Amino acid sequence: MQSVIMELAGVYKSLGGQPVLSDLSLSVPRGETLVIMGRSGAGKSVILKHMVGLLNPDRGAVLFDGRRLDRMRRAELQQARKRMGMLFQSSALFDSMTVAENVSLGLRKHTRLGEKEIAAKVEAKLAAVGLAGIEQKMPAELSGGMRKRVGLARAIAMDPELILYDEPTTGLDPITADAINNLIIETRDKFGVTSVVVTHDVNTVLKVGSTVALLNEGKIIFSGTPAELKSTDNPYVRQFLEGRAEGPIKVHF
Amino acid sequence: MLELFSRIGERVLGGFYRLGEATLLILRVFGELPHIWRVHRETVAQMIRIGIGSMPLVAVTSLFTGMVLAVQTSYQIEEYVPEIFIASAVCKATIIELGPVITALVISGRVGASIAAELGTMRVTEQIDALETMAVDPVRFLLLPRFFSGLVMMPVIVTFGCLIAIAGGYAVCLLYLEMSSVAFFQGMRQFVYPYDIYSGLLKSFIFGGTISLVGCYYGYCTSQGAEGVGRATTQSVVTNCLLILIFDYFLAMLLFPTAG
Ligand SMILES: Nc1ncnc2c1ncn2[C@@H]1O[C@H](COP(=O)(O)OP(=O)(O)O)[C@@H](O)[C@H]1O
Ligand SMILES: [Mg+2]
Repeated sequence: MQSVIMELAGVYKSLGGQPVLSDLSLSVPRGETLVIMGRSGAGKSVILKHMVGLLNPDRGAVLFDGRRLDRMRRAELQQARKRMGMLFQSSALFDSMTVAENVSLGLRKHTRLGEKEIAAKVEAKLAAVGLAGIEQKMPAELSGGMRKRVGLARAIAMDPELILYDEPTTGLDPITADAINNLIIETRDKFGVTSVVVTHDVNTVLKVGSTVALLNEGKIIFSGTPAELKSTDNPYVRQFLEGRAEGPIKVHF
Repeated sequence: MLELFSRIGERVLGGFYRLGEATLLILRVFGELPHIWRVHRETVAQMIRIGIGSMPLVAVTSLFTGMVLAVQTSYQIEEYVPEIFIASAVCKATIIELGPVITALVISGRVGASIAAELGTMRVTEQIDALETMAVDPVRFLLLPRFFSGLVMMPVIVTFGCLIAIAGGYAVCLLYLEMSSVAFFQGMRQFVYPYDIYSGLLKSFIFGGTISLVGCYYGYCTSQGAEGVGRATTQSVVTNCLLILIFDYFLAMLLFPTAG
């Protein structure tokens, strides 16, 4: 077991003819919470998709527990993915399935648990995200915040070692957003998991991060603790935290 | 001028790329066939959806096909041929040609399009990516049940459609052409061979596989949002209609070679 669970080393990636990541390197130590900040369109989701092998780098390496994720064969990649959970920016719930079926799909496909045990697990995970008793609802019947939380219950259903959160609080009211932040912290404390949180919500950054990285123009241009982030006079960080359009970070339309 | 050539070149390369992409996907679906029992739940659900759901529409289209067939056959052969041949022609044409083809065209609009739209929506809303991250292979979990159901349900649907069409033809012969029931069944028995039925079923089997695979391909490879889903749906229907008519010709050449 490596002390660094996930590492991106010198990753280059172009999408649709545009460079998105250029020489991006970052590492996620086991048990920590890495927060990646950046403008929308900066490539944050693209980074997470590299971490689960949905995208492969044009150049560079993705290492999961010390092994090349981007070189894995299908069966091996599936094994690695069983150790990860991902919360999608759009929740990406399966809308032809009930909440319970959404949360239990991984258990059904990858474990030999019986119906009773699966139902108990689903109940526990839904309770953990504060949504007890909605097993039989369809995703279309849920609000955005509830969908995010069901997505989270689904991501943690298999008790993963590494959870990737794509903008868990974006588009939510401040109270629900804070509840989600607490949930991320609780999940980390209760299950001891490693997390990568992508966000541009400054509250989330300061509350859940053990390390904070700022992404700009395809590179990590700042990395430090939340305290360092607040006190730095790095002009990029200051512009981001103060939310100004003018400054070294260029806004492209 | 140069631009024109490079445009054409791009189109051709794009076409080859998609053909290769489709071939690889189809091979993957075939490769998953031995694992069908692992997705039996999903497969049964799809079989019900495809089979039962299509019955009313197929019943109506088949009924009218059978009726029009009887009316027009009787018009074409006028007085030259004994009337029991009207029954033979109606049954034979239904079983070897019109039953499978018309049902396939109807099903491609209904089932093929809905597979493409459903999978396309799942693609653009990242549900397919979500399956991947949960280590659930979307080809096995989504495409295989749909392909398999199309394959096995199509002969069932076509059989049902043929029965309705023949019933329609029978009704027209009896009520409008004033043929006797005995004459109708005599005509049917005399000139419809078991081989006709087998070839009709083989055709429908192949059409069923084609329809679901084409729907799966366009849905699975959708990109670019809601507009892309609409495009995938339309393209699946267009491609299916073309393929059904083209395959039908080659199957006819294979199955019913004429001495000549
Ligand atoms: N599949 C794709 N095809 C083409 N371009 C893409 C694709 N995915 C992402 N991009 C582009 O990559 C850039 C980064 O996207 P993304 O990672 O989603 O940004 P964000 O930081 O907001 O999550 C955007 O400019 C986007 O247009
Ligand atoms: Mg994003």
